[in-house]
Formats: sequence, C-alpha cells, structure tokens
Amino acid sequence: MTTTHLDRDSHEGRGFSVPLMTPAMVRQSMDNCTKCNVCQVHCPVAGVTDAFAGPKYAGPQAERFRIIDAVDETAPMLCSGCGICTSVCPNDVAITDIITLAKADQVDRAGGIGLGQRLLNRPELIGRLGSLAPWLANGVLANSLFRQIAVAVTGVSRDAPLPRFAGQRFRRWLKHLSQREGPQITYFSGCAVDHYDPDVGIAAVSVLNSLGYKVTVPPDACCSLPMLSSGDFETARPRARKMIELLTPSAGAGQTIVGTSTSCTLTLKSKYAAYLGFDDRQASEVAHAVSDICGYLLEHHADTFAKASARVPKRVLYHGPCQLRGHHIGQPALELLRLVPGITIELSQASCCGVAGTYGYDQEKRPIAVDVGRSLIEQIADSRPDLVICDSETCRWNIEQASGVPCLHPIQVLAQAMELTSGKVFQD
Amino acid sequence: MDKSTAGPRVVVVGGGATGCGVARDLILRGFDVTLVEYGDLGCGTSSRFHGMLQSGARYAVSDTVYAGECMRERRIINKLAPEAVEETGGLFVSLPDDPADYGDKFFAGCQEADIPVRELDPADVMASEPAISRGVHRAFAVPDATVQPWRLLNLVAADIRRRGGRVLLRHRVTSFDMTGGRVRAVEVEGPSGSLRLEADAVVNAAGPWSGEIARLLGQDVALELTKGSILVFAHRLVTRAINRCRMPSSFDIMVPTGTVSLFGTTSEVVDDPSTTLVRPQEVQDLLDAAEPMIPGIRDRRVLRAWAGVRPIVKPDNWPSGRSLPRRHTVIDHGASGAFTICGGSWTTHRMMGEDAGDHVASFFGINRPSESATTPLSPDGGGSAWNPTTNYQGVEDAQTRKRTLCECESIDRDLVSQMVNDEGLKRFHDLRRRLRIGFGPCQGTFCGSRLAGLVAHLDQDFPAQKELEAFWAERLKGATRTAWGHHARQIILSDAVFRENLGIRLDDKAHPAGDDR
Ligand SMILES: Cc1cc2nc3c(=O)[nH]c(=O)nc-3n(C[C@H](O)[C@H](O)[C@H](O)COP(=O)(O)OP(=O)(O)OC[C@H]3O[C@@H](n4cnc5c(N)ncnc54)[C@H](O)[C@@H]3O)c2cc1C
Ligand code: SF4
Ligand code: SF4
Repeated sequence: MTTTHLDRDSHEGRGFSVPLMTPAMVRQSMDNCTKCNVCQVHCPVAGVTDAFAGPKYAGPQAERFRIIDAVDETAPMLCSGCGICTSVCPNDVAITDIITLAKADQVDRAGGIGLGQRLLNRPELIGRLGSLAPWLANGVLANSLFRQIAVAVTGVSRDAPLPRFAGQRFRRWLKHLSQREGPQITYFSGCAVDHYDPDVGIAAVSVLNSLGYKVTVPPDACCSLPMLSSGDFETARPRARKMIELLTPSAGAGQTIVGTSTSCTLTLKSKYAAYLGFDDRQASEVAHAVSDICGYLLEHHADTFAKASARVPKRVLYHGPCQLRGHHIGQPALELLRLVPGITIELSQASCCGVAGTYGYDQEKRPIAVDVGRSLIEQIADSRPDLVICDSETCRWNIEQASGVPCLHPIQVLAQAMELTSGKVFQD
Repeated sequence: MDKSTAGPRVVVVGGGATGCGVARDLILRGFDVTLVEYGDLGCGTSSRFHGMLQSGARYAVSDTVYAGECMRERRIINKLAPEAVEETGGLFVSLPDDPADYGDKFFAGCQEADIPVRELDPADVMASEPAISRGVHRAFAVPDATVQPWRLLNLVAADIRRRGGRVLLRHRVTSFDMTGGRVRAVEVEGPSGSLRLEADAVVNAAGPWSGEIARLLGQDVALELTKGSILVFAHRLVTRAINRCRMPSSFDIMVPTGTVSLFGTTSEVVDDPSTTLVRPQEVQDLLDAAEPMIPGIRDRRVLRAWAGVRPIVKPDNWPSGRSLPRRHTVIDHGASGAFTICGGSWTTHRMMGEDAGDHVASFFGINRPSESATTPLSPDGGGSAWNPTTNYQGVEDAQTRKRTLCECESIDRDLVSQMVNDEGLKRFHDLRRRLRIGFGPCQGTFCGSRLAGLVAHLDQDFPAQKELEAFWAERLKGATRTAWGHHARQIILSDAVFRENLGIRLDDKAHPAGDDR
C-alpha cells in the first residue's frame, strides 16, 4: 500500500505524524480483515444495542458489496465514529473510515441530512448566534418548553448536554493579551473554546506563553468534523478547504499547530485525506503540522512540568476520549498529569463516554449514547473524584451533566500546576 | 429404469456445462434421458473456469465465426436464465505493450461478428476503473457478462428432472455393454453400489475425461488437455471484465464475478485430466503478468488459486504449433449409437447440446428440431437479475443480520435450512456450491461451524464433524497456495479455529474427489 508522505526535512520536532490515507486506501484496507471479531467485541455501540450491526459487518464486510452495486442500507448509520474499532483491529483495517464513507453514500442517496443534524453540524454558527446575547440564548435553552419544541422540530435530543454560550470571552481575552517575542506556535482553538469553553483556550495560551512561545490564533472557524462524521461531505468539502487555507500560513512557516480538541486535531491530521481525499501538498503540510497539545507538551516540555509544578491536591478521574486513540500517541495528558505533585489519578475503565462528538445529541441515538456511557458514569458515582479530566469538549459536557462532577481539560490542570491564574478555573 | 413410453433411451456421461446442455436438448426432443455425473454438477472444468459468458469479442480477430456464435449464445443464455447471469460488461484495453494495430482489427472483427462494440475515451475508462493501469491508450466496450456456474447447471438439472429425465449425481460410469457393436447399456457405480442403465445411445460429454470414456467405448479420441490456473482476488478490483486488446493468449483477463475477481490464466499442456495442481511458479507468473494491467497487484489479497483443464479435440493433420480451434467437435462413433462431444466453451454449451442433439436425432431418424433456445428454463419463465449485492441488500431490507450464516457472502441461515429440508442436501460442499457459503475472505472459517451446527440440528445422525473436516480440507487446499500477507494471517487464524476450537484433524483422506475449488 502506498502512503502519502511529506518530505520530513523541514518538519523535524513536530511530534507524531501519521501517514495520510485517502478514501481509496481506506476502502482497500477492507482486504486486511480476517474476520477475527476483535472489533465487534470492542465496539461500544454494538455492545449496548442489537440495532447496530457492528464494525466488522458495517465496515470491511459490507464494503465488498458496496463496491459492486449501490445499496440502501442502515448498517453504517448507528456508528458513533468513536474510532475504537480501528484502534483495536490487529490487521490495520480503517474500519471507522470505511463506515463513515458508507454513511456519506447513504446521506447522498437520501438527498442530504436532517435539520437536527444540520444544526448540530454548525457549532460555530450556533455559537455565533448564541454569542450575540449569551444570557438570552442560555435562558431559552434552559427553558423546557422551548426544548420540547426544539426536539420536535430538529430531532436534537431534549436531554442532550447542551453547553452554555460563553460569548466571545476567549477572543476578547486574546485581544487584550500582550505576548513577548519567542518561538512561534499556532493554537487552533476550535468552536468549543470560541463559544462555550473559553477557559480551556485561556489556559492553553497561558501555558504556551509561560513556556516562552508567542502564540498565533487563527480566526474563528469550524474544522467541519460534525459534518464529516454524519456523512455530509458535500457541505464539508469547501469548508475543509478553507480551513486548510487558514492554517497554511502557520504550517508553511514551519510552525506547529496545537489544539485542545482531540477530535478537531484528528480531523485536521487525517480525516480531510481519508474522507475528502485531500492529499495534495498544501493539505499534507497542514496535516503534518497539527499536534494534540498534550502530545506536544509531553514531547518537548516534560522537564518543565517535572520541575516546576505546584501542588494540586486533588483526586481526579482521567478519561481519555475515544478519538484520542486515532492520534496513535497513547495518553499524553495522563503522563503529564502524573508529573503534577499532589494529584491522585484514577483511570476511567470505559472506552467511550457515549456522546462521541455530536452522536449523543441526536434524539434517536441519545439512549444508545447513555447506555454506552453508563459504566463511566457509574465509576464516577462510585469513586466520587473531585474532578474528572478529559481532553474532548462534548465528552466533558456530557460527563459533567450526567455525573454532576466538574469536568476539565487537562491543560486547565496543567495551568493550575504552573500557577497561571488567568486560566484558573477551580478553587482549592 | 425402463420407461418404454418415451423415445429412445440416451445416457449422457458428464454433468458439466456440456453434458447438461446435451441432456436438456435431448429431453426437449422427447428422448428418455439419464445424465450421469461422477461428482456434483459442474465439479470439473465447468466450475474451474474464468466465469465469463463471453460476447465473443475475444475471438473477433482470431476466429470471427466462433465469435459470432458466442454472441448469439450469450444473448440466449441471458434470456433463459437472467438469475444466473450478471451483465457486467467487458472492456478491451490497449496497454503500451499491446500491438498498436490490433484495435482497428478488433473493432472490424466485432462488427463482422455482430458484437455490439463501442470505442471509449481512455480517460473515462481510467477514471471509472481506478485499479487499472494509467497507460490505457485505446479502450472498447463489449457486452461480456459473467455466469454463476452452479446456479445455471442446477436450473438446467431441475428442468431435466421436471421433464421426466434422471440426473444421477455421484455416479461413475465404469463400462459400456456394446454387445453386437451397439450401445446396449451403461454400467455405473454409485454410493449404493453398481447400476446397469439400459440405453440405445450414449453421449460422452466428460470434458477432459472424454478420452477415458471414449476408451471405455473402444474408441480413440485425440484430445489436447490444457491446464489453466486462475487467481482469486478478495474483492472486485474492477467493475467490468478487463481484457487486453491483443490476440487472445494467456494471462490477459481480469473478471469480476461473485464478490471476487479472477485473473488468468496460465496455459500448459498436461496429461492428467484430473490435475488441479497450481504450481507456485504459476502463481508468480500470474502476478507478474497482471502487474501491467493492475499496478500494485502484489499488494492485493488473493484468496486462493485453482486450475481447470480445457479439453480440445485435435483435428486430423493439424499443423503443430498453431493454436487449436475453439469451436467444439461432435464425433459420431460409427453405427454404434455412441457420440463424443468435446471442446467449445461454457458460453456455447447450449449450442453444443443442440449440435449433439441433431446428431443423435438423425441417428434415430427423428426429425424434431431443437427447442432449447426458446423453451424457458423455469416454469415461471425465469427469475430476475442477480448479483452478490442482492444478498446483502436482502439482509438489510429484512433487517435479518443476526440470522446471517455466511458473513462474507451475506447468506441467511433460513436459505440453508430450506435447502437442507426441501432438497435433502446436507453435504457441506453441495450446500456451499449452491449458496456460495464459504467463498469469501475467511474461506469458511466462521460459516463452517455455523453450518455444522445447523445441519446437525436438522439431522442428528449426520456426521457433521467429518463433513467439517472435508470442508476445511478443501478450502485450505486452495487457500494455502496464495497464503502471503494478510491472507497468511487469515489462514493461520482459520486453521487455529478449526484445529483448536473445533478439534478438526486433517489427513489425506479428508477430502473426497471432485469437491475442490
Ligand atoms: C482455465 C479455463 C478458463 C475458462 N474460461 C472460460 C470462460 O470464461 N468462458 C467460457 O465460456 N468458457 C471458459 N472455459 C471453457 C469451459 O470452461 C469449458 O469448455 C467447459 O466448462 C467444459 O465443460 P464440459 O462439460 O465439457 O467439461 P467438465 O465441466 O469437465 O465436465 C465433465 C464432467 O464429466 C464428469 N466425469 C468424468 N468422468 C466421468 C465418469 N467416468 N463418469 C461420470 N462422470 C464423469 C466429470 O466429473 C465432470 O463433471 C475455460 C476453461 C478453462 C480451462
Ligand atoms: S467507530 Fe465506534 S461505534 Fe463505530 S463501529 Fe467503530 S467502535 Fe463501533
Ligand atoms: S478487528 Fe479488524 S481484522 Fe478483526 S474482524 Fe474487525 S476489521 Fe476484521
């Protein structure tokens, strides 16, 4: 199998790089399957409902038929896109991606996606609307009558863990930030930070500043992952291209682009190629420049954290989000947290919290998501940690809503450990 | 076995495409027909072939008359049995190594043979067939199709039975009673001992074994036996049958059939009609030859390899070195009532049956023309078009995923129970051939044990364990020839499942003759 590589000379020290797979390569990986069932056993969705056929069936198995003739199928539709199957497959079948490509075919055949998913697919748009008057928007969302109407119209679950609009707090904070000169790095904030979770962005930029970096933050735009994972490739295509344009100045200047959202960074790193076939030089350059922030910090600054940390006397439960596996970098946040003195870490026993991006927001899929996440929520209820730590935003909102325990991004804890008050979000 | 009310009694030897074609033609002309087959229908060359229902375009230049016959027959077969034919279409592509002048000759030949042919823009062809070479400089579309051999043969056999004929499977012809220089009877040996079939005439349609049968008839038929080996790729690499645009030779076709695709063939003259051996060197030669057509072919998974033996009658005084004619031959063995029919192809099997039928009819002075081209094969007038996706679509429509017995081919367990109950078929290879169980990437690893469970449940006396041994022995035999890369991992996993989980132990006796492919 041929892989698309960028010559690496000018890209040393950027952390892990995954070879880009195009849709043709994704599909061809079906041939690697030995039907061993490992993926079937690990799929969290197949584990809780018979309505889902499971990764082997919906992935490499059905793909042999799809390439012969068009089919009308429901098999791929209940996949959450969590990526766990791909990460456990002993034979390198790009299962999740095969299923997502199949989903896109079905969406095409159905003439597009529903209103609810269309809304969920535009977090930046909803975010901007909400940001105009966050207090009003939050009030409306909290109103159960409004929610009921919204469910009926859009199909978005009434119990979904909708985050609170935060206005443009991150961007406003950024505008007033004065940075010293230093090595350049780009921070991709993503919709979550820009509209709902500004503290994560503030913590990230503060940590990078204190490590001596001068941080560039590209303009507010969505990576289009929700569109991609729900199969709406056609809407995603021009947006993804624009995203690449937006990040090209940074990548072209040899900067690393770090991000705090595991799923956004995974999209930038590999999904544009896998789903949209973007494997040209410009796209590859951007893909290879992107790094998960904790992965980057562990690789380049583990020493700093080992030496300079203040005590954070907290009992935390760390849940590595499902999409983190797609990065092939282990759990760098966990390793960094272990360097923080005073902290007691318990590991999540669950592979997925259930919400998997926007999956758990859909009315029809919500019960499945709840079942998938049940073991994690029970574990939290049993061990009652002070905090849950998780790298992915929708997971955090979901866990916080379901367990009642505050849930933070690891960078927030690291900021605390570095005594960076601007990012401080919890009190001792 | 006496059925004096019907016409003369004819025994047809061999249940391949040829024998089935002959037997059906004869029964439609009112003969009393018994078809005798050593193994299962189509267990000889008729399943060890390339899968094509040819438009004839392949022979458009080398043998235009035969090409036209193929096209006519291909149309007839598709009309008679659409459920066994897939209209894939075929392409002839000129690659850099192919002769520049062949394209024009080819086009003219197709037109002369009345084969619909269209020249295509090479760029469009390369865009629609991403796996093939980027060096296509000319491309032609012709109506090649593929045929599901067992499906069609079983339709024919069912029609023969429905019309009062007999189809004896697992019966071997051992000798002929030719008292007085005329066919009197045929001696056969079957699972429950030997049988004597009284007969007025015999048609030897034993394919590569025709020479042996002719000897039993006291005749000498000079056959040239050519073995061709084929590689089975794990999925359809191409959407249409891809031919090289050059004089037909070895190593030049990739055919999408079933859920897989077949590349072939090698060509070597052999003595033993029963040989099914694919030598490692042949596998390498096939891969080398496929590379210019499908670049990167060595990275594609190959499920197995098989070989078939093509029987061709050598005409008297045929100049050595010249390739033998494709068209079939009917030999009338004097006034004895014995005939041999040999050569030809799957595509022309019906026409071969008609030709043999003409000879037999005129032997008995019966003046009744063939009806096999116009009489529907099934009482309901034929089914609808089928391709393997039909199976998957069926499961998705009915949401019966949990009932799937064979995952690779998407075969519902109810289909299997039905065949066991209605047709009394329990042997795994018989079920496999009829339903395509175990044809996919895992080569029967997971469906094999499910099948054993199901049959054992329906018939507690059935020796399921022994059957499973025979099943895996045969699947393993074809699969080990191509076990490298991911397929090697498959074979190791599968063998472990059979040995460790199911306690299967293989020995030489594990697989009965005529069950491999
Ligand atoms: C590699 C290869 C590829 C080919 N590809 C194509 C193609 O794509 N398209 C096409 O149209 N043609 C193709 N052909 C040609 C075609 O397959 C053959 O012409 C055709 O299948 C021959 O059928 P048959 O019935 O004559 O022989 P067989 O199918 O071999 O039938 C003979 C039968 O006789 C039985 N028999 C033998 N001895 C006895 C006995 N003593 N008693 C009872 N029964 C006995 C055998 O078990 C066997 O089933 C190909 C051939 C080869 C070798
Ligand atoms: S991506 Fe997740 S939900 Fe989808 S098949 Fe794989 S493991 Fe199951
Ligand atoms: S884990 Fe990989 S090899 Fe095993 S069944 Fe799933 S896709 Fe196939």
